[in-house]
Amino acid sequence: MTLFYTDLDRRKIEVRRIDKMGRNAVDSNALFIDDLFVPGFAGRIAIHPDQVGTINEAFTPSSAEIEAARRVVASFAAEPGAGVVQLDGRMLDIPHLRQAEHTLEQGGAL
Amino acid sequence: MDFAVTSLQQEINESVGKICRQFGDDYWRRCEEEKTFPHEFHAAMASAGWLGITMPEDLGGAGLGVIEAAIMIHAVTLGGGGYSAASAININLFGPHAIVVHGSPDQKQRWLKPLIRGEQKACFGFTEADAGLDTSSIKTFATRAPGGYRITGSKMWTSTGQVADKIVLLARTTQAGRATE
Repeated sequence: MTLFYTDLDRRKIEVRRIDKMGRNAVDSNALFIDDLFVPGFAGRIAIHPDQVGTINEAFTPSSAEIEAARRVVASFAAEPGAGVVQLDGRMLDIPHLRQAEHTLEQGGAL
Repeated sequence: MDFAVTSLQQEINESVGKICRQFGDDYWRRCEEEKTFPHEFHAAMASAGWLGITMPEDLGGAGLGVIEAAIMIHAVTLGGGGYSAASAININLFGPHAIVVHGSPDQKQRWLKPLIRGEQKACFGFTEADAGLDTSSIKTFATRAPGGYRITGSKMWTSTGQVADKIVLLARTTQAGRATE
């Protein structure tokens, strides 16, 4: 179990009001969360040099992730000025591009 | 054991009551009929400092405890808004408490201050359709992803979801039955 505190991003969380018998000033809702990205730690503090390798491994994107991010960036580069592109039948917009750039930056591959 | 009300608690009761009396039956009837959140009441409680009653003093809160919060909520429910008025503000008393206790100084500054000032509202995403009080059986899942987590699932009976800027969201990071902690 992990407790998150994040923006209620309405593009990723559908908030559907539930009808109630009274007490309508404060809404009650059903929430449908679809692939909500929550930024996490970018690293952590080590107390012994032996830990550095494991930490770097955990926080560095894998080669598959870097390759996927490269393809996203390349798709946008191929259509300058486009806000939305398609890759493998998937619709990608600017947040996808930003995330891919971030992945490359983390992987030292930008 | 002494159950007498302290002068501070008496003062809380009176001060909160004074604010609540500014919001009469007409105000609450309109919120009820139009299904609109009582933003003005929320703002009035924030500007008098009550939304930070359980939050640290160095962030603008009052650093008080559960008894004082209960006295405050009691005074709120005595007003025209009843439990609607309580529901409009009570997330602040307990929802972000994990941040109060475990948050880094930076997280407290960024996340608690706007809640105390009433600039942001948070909702509390714990309950699910198949897991009410049995919190350990929730299904919403957070998967590790580059730079963070990706969360998919659903929540039920989330109060103030229509007006909230932030969400305290509980999700599994291990499959049910496989958790070791």
